[in-house]
Amino acid sequence: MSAALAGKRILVVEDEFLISLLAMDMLEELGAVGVGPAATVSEGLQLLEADQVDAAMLDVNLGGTRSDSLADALRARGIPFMLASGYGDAAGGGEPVLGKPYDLPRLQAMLEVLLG
Amino acid sequence: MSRPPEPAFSRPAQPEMRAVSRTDLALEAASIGAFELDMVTDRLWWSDKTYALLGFEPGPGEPDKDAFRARIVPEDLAEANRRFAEQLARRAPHLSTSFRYRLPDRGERSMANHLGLEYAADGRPLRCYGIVLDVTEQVAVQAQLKTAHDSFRKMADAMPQLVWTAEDDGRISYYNARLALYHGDGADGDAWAWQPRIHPQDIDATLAAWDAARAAGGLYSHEHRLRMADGGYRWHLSRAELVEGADGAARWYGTATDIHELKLAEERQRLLVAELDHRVKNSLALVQAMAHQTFKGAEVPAGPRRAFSDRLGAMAAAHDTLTRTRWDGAALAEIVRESVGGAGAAAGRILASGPEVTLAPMRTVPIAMALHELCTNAVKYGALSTEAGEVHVSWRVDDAGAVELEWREQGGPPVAPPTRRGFGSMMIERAIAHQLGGETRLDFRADGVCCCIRLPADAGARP
Repeated sequence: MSAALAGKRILVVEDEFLISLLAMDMLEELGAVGVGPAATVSEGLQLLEADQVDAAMLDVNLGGTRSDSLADALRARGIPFMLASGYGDAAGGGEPVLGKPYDLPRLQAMLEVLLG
Repeated sequence: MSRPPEPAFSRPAQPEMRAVSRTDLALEAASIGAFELDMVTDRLWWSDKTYALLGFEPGPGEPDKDAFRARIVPEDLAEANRRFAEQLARRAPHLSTSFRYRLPDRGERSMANHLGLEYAADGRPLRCYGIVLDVTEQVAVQAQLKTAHDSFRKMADAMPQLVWTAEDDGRISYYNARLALYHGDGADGDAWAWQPRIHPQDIDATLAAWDAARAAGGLYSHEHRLRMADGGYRWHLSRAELVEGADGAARWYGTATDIHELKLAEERQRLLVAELDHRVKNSLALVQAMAHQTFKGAEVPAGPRRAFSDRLGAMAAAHDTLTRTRWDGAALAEIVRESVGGAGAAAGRILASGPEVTLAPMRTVPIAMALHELCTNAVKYGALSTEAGEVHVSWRVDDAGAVELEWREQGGPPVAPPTRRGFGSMMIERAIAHQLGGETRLDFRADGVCCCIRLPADAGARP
C-alpha cells in the first residue's frame, strides 16, 4: 500500500492479457485502482472519454501498432503517464519508462513521481 | 696512322685551333662522337670517339658505311632513313633520331644522334654533320619508369576502392579508374572535386575530421555517405595518410572503401538485437504474469511470490546490460550496479571497487543472479537489514587472468549460518561452479557474510 496512491485511478493499456492482469493486480496491491485494461488504442481512448483517470501505464507496442496517438491524447488532457516497454530505450516524449518484467517498487516510485 | 683528309669545317685555320680543341676535348669527355657527311661527294668523316662508340677501328680509308648500317636494327634503320629523306625533302635544318645498334662485343645499345643539314641556294643538300651518343642507360631508366608507372596505374585501378592522392590543401591530384563509378557525365561540374560528392548531412563532420587530421598531420579516417554516378548515396570509409614524397612535398594518399552493405548489416543487427531483447523481456514479463496468477490461485504467500518476481527482474536486468553492449560482454562494475537494484535506498551502502573488467556474455547472467541473491540476503538478514551496515564489493584480476570477486558485509547484526540451503545459496555456490567452472566460498562469519567468487581466465575475454 502507498498512501500517495490510495484510490488513484490508473489507466492500464497493454495488449498482452496476462501482463495486463498483473498490472491491475500490482496497482491494487499499491492501493490504487486500475482502469481497464485496454488492449488497443481505441479502447484506451474510449476509457479516457468515459472514465476519470489520474495517470496511465501505456505499453509502447500494442499488437504491432505503436501507441503514439494515445500518448498524444494523454498529453493533450494533461494526464501523466509512463511507458511500459520491453525495449531498453523506448523513444517517447520524455515520459519515464517502466521496463518489463515489472518491478513493484519501481512501479510505485514512478507513480508517486507522476502523481506527486 | 694515315687518315683521309678531314672535311674543311674541322680542319680550322690557325686562330681557331684552340677553340676547336676545346670542343673536341669536351665531346671526348662527354663520350659524344662527331661526324660529317659531304653530300656532294658522299665522303664521310667520323671522330675517334664515333669510331669507338660504333665499335670500329679507325682505318686508312673512310668509315665503312655498309658495316655500320648492318649493325643497326633493320626497322630502326628504315625509320631513320625515312625521316632523313623526309627532312631533306622539306629542306629542314635539323634531325634527331635514335636507333638500336648491335655491338659485336657489348650487345644491343641505344644510340641517339642529332644532326644539322645544309643546303645550296637551289635546295640541293650540301652537308650533314652532327653528333652521336650512347643513350642505352637513359633509355633503360625511362623504360623502367614507364613500367613502374604503368604497373602502379594497373594496380591502383584493380583495387576495389576509390584510390586518390591529394595535395596538402585537399586538392585531388589523382583518382584511379574507379572514379567512373562516382562521376556521372560531369554532373558535378568539377569531376575531381570531392566535397560536392559528400552527403549534405555528413559534410560538416567530414570537414571537421579532415581539419583535425590535417592539424595532427597524420591519419584521416572517417565514415560518410558518397554520391554515386546514379545519384544514390552509399556509405564509405575514407582513409588517408600524409606522406612526404621524394621531392619533399607532403601529399595525402587515400582510399574510399564502399562499406554500404556492412553498414546496413550493422543496422539490421542492431534492430534484431533490440527486437530479440524486447521479446526476451516480454517473455519474462509473461512468465511473471503467469506465475502471479498461478500463485494467486494457490494462495502462495507474498514472500515467495515477491522473491520469484525479483529473480525474474534480476535476470531481465542482466539481459538489459547485455543488450546495451550489443552482446559484446558487460562491464563487471555495471553488472554489480544493476544486480543490487533490489537493495533500494540501501544500495548507497554497497561500495564497489575494482579495475575495468569485461565479462563475456555467457558469464553475465549467472554472476548477476548470484549478486542478486547476495543482495537480497543482505537486505533481509545481513548488513543492509540495519541502518549502518555496509557491503564492500571488490574485484581484481590475477596474473593468470582469473577474476576474483569478493562480497564482504560488515556492521550488520551477528550472523548465524542458515539451517538449510535454499535457492539463493544454490545460485551463489553451485551455479557458478557448474556453469562457469568457477569456485565460490560462502562464509557466514559472525561479523558479516563473506563470499569469494573466483572465475578462471576466459579464453574469449577482453581485459
